[in-house]
Amino acid sequence: MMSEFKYHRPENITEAILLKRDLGDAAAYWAGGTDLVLQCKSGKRRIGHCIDLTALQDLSFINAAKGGYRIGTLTPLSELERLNADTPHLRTIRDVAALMCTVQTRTIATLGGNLCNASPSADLFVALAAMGAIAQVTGLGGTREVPVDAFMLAPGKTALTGDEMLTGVFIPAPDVPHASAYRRIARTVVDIALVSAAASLTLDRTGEKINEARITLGAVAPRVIRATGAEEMLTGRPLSDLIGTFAKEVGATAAQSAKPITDIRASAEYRKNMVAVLVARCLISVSTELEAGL
Amino acid sequence: MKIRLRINAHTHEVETRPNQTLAQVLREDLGMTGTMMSCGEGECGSCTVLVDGTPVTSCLMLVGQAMGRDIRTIESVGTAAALDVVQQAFVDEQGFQCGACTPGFIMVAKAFLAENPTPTEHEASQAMSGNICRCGAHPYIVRAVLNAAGILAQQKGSEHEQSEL
Amino acid sequence: MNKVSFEIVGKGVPVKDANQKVSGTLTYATDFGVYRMAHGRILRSPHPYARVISINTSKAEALPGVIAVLTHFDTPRLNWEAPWFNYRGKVLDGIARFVGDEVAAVAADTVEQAEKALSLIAIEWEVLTPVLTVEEAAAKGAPQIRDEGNLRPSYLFEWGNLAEAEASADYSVSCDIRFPAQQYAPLGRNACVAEWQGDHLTLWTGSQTPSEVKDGLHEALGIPQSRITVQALPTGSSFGCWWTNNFMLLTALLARKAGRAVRIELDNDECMATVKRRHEERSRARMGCDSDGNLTFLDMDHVIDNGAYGFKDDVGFTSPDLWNGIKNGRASVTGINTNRVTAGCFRGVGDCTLSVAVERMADQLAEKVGLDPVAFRIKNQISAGERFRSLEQFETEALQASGGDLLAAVPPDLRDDWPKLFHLSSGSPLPMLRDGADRFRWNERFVGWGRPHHVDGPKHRAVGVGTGSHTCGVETEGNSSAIVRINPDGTAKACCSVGRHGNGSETTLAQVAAEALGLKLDQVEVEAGNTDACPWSHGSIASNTMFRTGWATRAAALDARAQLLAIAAQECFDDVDQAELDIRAGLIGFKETSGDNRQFSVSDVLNLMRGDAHGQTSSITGSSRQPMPPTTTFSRQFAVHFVEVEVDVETGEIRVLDYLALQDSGTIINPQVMKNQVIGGAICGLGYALYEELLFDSETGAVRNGNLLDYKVLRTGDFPPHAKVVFHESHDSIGPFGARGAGESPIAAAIPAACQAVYNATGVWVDLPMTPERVATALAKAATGKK
Repeated sequence: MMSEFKYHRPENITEAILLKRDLGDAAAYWAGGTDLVLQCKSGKRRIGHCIDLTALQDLSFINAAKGGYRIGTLTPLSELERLNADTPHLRTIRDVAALMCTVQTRTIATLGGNLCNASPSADLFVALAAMGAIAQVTGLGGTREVPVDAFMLAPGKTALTGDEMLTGVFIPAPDVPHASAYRRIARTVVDIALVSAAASLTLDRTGEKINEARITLGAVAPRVIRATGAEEMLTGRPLSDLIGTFAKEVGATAAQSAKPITDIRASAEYRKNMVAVLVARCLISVSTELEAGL
Repeated sequence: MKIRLRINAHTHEVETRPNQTLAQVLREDLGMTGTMMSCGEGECGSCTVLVDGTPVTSCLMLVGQAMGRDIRTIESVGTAAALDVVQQAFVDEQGFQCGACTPGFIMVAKAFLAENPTPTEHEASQAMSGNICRCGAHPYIVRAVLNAAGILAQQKGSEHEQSEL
Repeated sequence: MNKVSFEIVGKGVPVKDANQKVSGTLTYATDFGVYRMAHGRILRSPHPYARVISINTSKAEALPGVIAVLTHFDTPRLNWEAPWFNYRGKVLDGIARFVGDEVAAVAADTVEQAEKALSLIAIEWEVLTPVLTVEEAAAKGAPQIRDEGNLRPSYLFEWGNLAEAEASADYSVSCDIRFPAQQYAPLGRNACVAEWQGDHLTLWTGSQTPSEVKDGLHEALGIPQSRITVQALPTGSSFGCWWTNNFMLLTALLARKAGRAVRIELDNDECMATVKRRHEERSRARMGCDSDGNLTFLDMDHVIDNGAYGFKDDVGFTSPDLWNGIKNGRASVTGINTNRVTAGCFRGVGDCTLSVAVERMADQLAEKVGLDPVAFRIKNQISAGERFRSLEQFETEALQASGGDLLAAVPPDLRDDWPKLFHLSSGSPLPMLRDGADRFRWNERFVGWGRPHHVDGPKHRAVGVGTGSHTCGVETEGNSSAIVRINPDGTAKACCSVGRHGNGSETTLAQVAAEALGLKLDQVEVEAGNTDACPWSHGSIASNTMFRTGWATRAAALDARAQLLAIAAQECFDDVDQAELDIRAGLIGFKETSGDNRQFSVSDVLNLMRGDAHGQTSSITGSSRQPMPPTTTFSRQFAVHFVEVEVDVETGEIRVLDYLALQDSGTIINPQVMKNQVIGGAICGLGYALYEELLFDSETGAVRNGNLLDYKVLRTGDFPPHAKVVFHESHDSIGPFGARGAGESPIAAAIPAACQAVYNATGVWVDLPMTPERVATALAKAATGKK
């Protein structure tokens, strides 16, 4: 049973942020609230004030921007899975959104909520971090940008401070060949990721050489992490190297970055082993997409 | 707090508290027990209602979030004496046993078919996966949805013919 | 009775409450309340094993809104027992035996007040050392957590000559398998409302066993059954979860103390972690065969974890009956109590564990012999008329007890039709194995043991077959009765105490009654929950609903029909012999051979009586006058399931691609109901095979995944929508219109089918549940072994 709290329904961002400033830590921004409501129901979290963001519908959008796209923090996952995706990263976002929770919870759950919940197994978080997405944060002190891969500090803890609100995410769409992929291990068709990985490759103009590689891992550390060792193996290499066993070697190196724990969903050992498989599969998928696009 | 909810085209005024979910208010304050409550965690879909036309697990939605929105529950779909096409398809295919999950499935099916009137078997079985049927009527649920799609298409076709005449 | 064409039996009509269910208007237990009721919540133990030294309720009682606080000082010192040893204990006794055990309860004006009051109850505990596993509980010097001790006496049966058979077997295999506890995961929860009028208790709750709830109240409260009315309301899925549960008795006592009607609704955590679950079990066994693949022996020791209040010494082992080729054997089952949530019967109890162990060993023997799994089953499984080898000792005992005449207990008029006891009355898996292999393209898709028929990178596809059987009820706990009442308007009500939880009994029993009466289906309704209306029945337990209560329903309907025809013959048809009359679609007339076309409706006849001051009756009540004679020693249900899976050998993930389920339950009363029983069993079995496992904390025994996020059940996307069900209706001479039991064999067949398919895809046997991690680990282990 949820403990009692006060309810606020600001009409715009400024009002919301002012409320948060005044109410402090006792207050929580309530986007879709699908995670928060469970935390409150179970007693894991007690809040004194709910700042319901339902009225801030202008924070639900997907817009083209310079060098990429901006997605509003209140965009529900159900909108993301219906994305009319015309860039590689948006396609990945669309596919990842469709994996998350259930049809009827994706209609409430939001992009921003998923990031702010800061779960190391959050599907979208892992994918966005791999893409080099940038969180846009607004507070009374102004607006700042935080790379998504630096947004999660610990389970349930983000880089947001004080009155700050995550207002949206920028998804890069460089004008050179690039692609991304996400893979996870799950039990039934509806599940939380037992372990997950995402990879994103950006090529040079010729489309032959990997200019930038980003590999992220989910549910193998207290936060979504990057497999920097594996990234280094890829940077500067020809894309064609991914044919053959190289992808598996990179996967094995990525597994070295994983620091998983054993919990009721999976053992540390299995998680670590699967990082190798998933990263390799992400890389094969990305290289296949890039080869096809060239 | 006193709030107004627009449910099944009627306005209801409820004295409630902010920590109540839409599902609780529907069941406990308004007696709309067709919306079932099972897991209370958004996993089983028993409590699905439509909010502005989209399916929502009402056990996860605060009652405040539902204010000012168009809420449709199973009570608005059809009555036991006059079933809606989707409900009838579930009866014909016997896409249930105990029935505890059925209203939730039907609400999802209604929204799904509105968006995708000609689903494939795979699409239907994925779309129904947000609900849990513990009795295991899975194939018959999927077939009920596909059959309902067929009937709705026929009805639409005949309406179309009539309008052409 | 030979198979004839039926008017109503065999028709796939929608269940009677279908429209209510799809419109959300059926009143489940959780939807029910009475005027001026209070709300109760239960205080649960944080300790696995602890004694209450003192309990202070004064703060809780002082809280505004609180009406009563119930502790063990308020409850009778009486033990009560649930059906088939699913529970034995007191409602409260000041000792907590698992984390979540009931300690006290509060009734208040609102749920919130009751909940708050719980936190104000102060308890001083003496924390005791718990036993959390069967091994711990069985160890020498282990704390005994019950007055009766932790161990139940082993249930043992032996047949043939095991020692000789073992010595001469050409092949033998062994196993040591642990089976996880499955959770009913009962969708829709449950609630109980209790109200006292003077010293009469009325209790509304969801239950499959209304009569047994009344028995439980009688035992636990020590009040006469005549002062108890139970109204079982529809529940969500149950599968053995909602029989008689301690929280119902607690509600009754709380209401008595409160002096007001009280309602307790269990939340999902309580449903998942404090009521019941399947036993955690362990099979250690050996099995052998000769060089031709004829099974020669089985030697099995099986242990079941009863949890805190389960009291079972046996989980119904029908596998040796199915594998009648096992000529010699010994099987022992031992029930052990632990400080974990109570374990009890769950759909296919025993079948999903011991029988799965037998199927695995049979498969391993088949591989050694070089036989295909279908052929091996055909070689070793039972057919109608065969004597059950494994029941030898029981047959000998029964022979002695009956003075040499096994049919002594069968009334003379039934003996002609009554099959030989200790011989299979009808049916067999064999024709289904042949038919299924054909339909499933088995010969194309089975390419040898441990070999996938299709490989695409890491994705291996293979097929598997599994078989299951179960009894059709148990008869040792009392005989099921039913009443059929014909109303003055010509409609009838069959009163059968079987509850309503989705198995369609309110419809199938109506079909049986209507067929027997000669009424139309819409003229017959079933009351399945009211114990004032219904005579005692075991309830929906052990697949007996149709076979035993259905038998009683048919008998009661025939009795009512005979009474009606006697009156009609006398009053409307010039005193003809009633045997010349028939009832068809609600009209009484001569049988078709007669030239007399006079017809009277049932209501005509009864109204004639009503208008006559000397009329015998205005309504007719038929009852099952004689109890159903012994049956469980010969009737069985059979399931044969085929499955195709795809295993990702790198990740261990499994997808189910194709499914075929064949079922022999005799006459199918309603194919629409039956297909759901079959596929529902298959899906629940696959869930257990692939994902379902209740996890317990190693320190406290508390349930760790009492939620549907981490207790995974299959969803529509996890099961092929094109799955098929095929019925083989081998007629049974005893079951009502030839019907037998159905609900439990399907789950039993699904599990070994999946295990075998995964073996064929990967070459490794994987323990249950075959989660991605278990599959991957087993594969890694096998790979290391090969190196």
